[in-house]
Amino acid sequence: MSVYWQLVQVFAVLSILGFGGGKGIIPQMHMDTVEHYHWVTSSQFAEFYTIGKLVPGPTTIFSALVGFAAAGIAGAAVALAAMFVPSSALMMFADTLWLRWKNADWKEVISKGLAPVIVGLVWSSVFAIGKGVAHGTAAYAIAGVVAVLMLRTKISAPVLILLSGAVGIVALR
Amino acid sequence: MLFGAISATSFGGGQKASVRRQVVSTHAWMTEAQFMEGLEFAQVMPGPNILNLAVFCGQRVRGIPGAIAAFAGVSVPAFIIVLIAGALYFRFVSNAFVHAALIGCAAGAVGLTLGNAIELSVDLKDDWLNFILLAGTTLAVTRFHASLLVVLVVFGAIGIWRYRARKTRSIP
Repeated sequence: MSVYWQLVQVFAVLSILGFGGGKGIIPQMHMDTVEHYHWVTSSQFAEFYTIGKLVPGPTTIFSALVGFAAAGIAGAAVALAAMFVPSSALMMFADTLWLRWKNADWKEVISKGLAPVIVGLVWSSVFAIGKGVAHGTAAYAIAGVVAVLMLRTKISAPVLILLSGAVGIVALR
Repeated sequence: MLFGAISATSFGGGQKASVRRQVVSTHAWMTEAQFMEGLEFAQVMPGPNILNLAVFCGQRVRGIPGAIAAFAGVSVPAFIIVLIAGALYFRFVSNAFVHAALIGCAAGAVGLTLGNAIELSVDLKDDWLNFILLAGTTLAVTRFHASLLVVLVVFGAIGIWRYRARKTRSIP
């Protein structure tokens, strides 16, 4: 089976299951791309995820980097297309089909009903990404401080990541 | 259709507010109410919210070609930027300075995800069962390698059933 087809299989499934804006797919993506196919190492996965948070646009754009590690530029394009096209197509068709049930509160029921699962998956993402970050007091301290700053201040996500990088140069080298 | 793509490019920043400004205020392609409905819809459907929202707006304004233009408008610039970032990554990752910075950045990204997890958990506090489902999901995934599909179907079905039940009968 060609690597392109494997990329399509992995990312198209993640695309369709990407409820909650795609926040919940990280653990499964880690399982598939790191543990099963070994396209990237655990630390590469964490670093690509970080790049995804740093660049403009959806975080899941980093699937292009996973595709790149697996099969070069073509792999990047295939992975990204498989990640973005199915959910967008669903959005297009669902729009034409379902918009008629305007009164129905299905949107609220689905998003509120799935919310605890999505949040559980976000917690799982913390562990999945955490695996790829060098363990040690400094790394834990950075993560803890960033979590507090994110919750208590209005400093933007990319700025917090870049500040962490600066601390990393001093503390982790 | 073309200006659908042009304006979608400005979506790139990922800010819903800027999309709203473009489609509601600047171009008056849809009303505030239509936009809000689209936003709700974009959030509940799978996929990145910003991409879903762009596709929704594109489709409403110019049909299928509009949706395709909006899709391209969001994903192509993001793809190019992430490829450039990736090229820099592979070029410099072996440098000790860069690598230390990257590990620091990754620790920061873990922190952001942790903050996000805490914030979202607090939002679930109106029903204790939410925390059972949350813990069940986390345990199933991290300890037992349960697949995304399985947790969505099993815990998601319970969550949806519970929410509907609480909504209609107001279980305390």
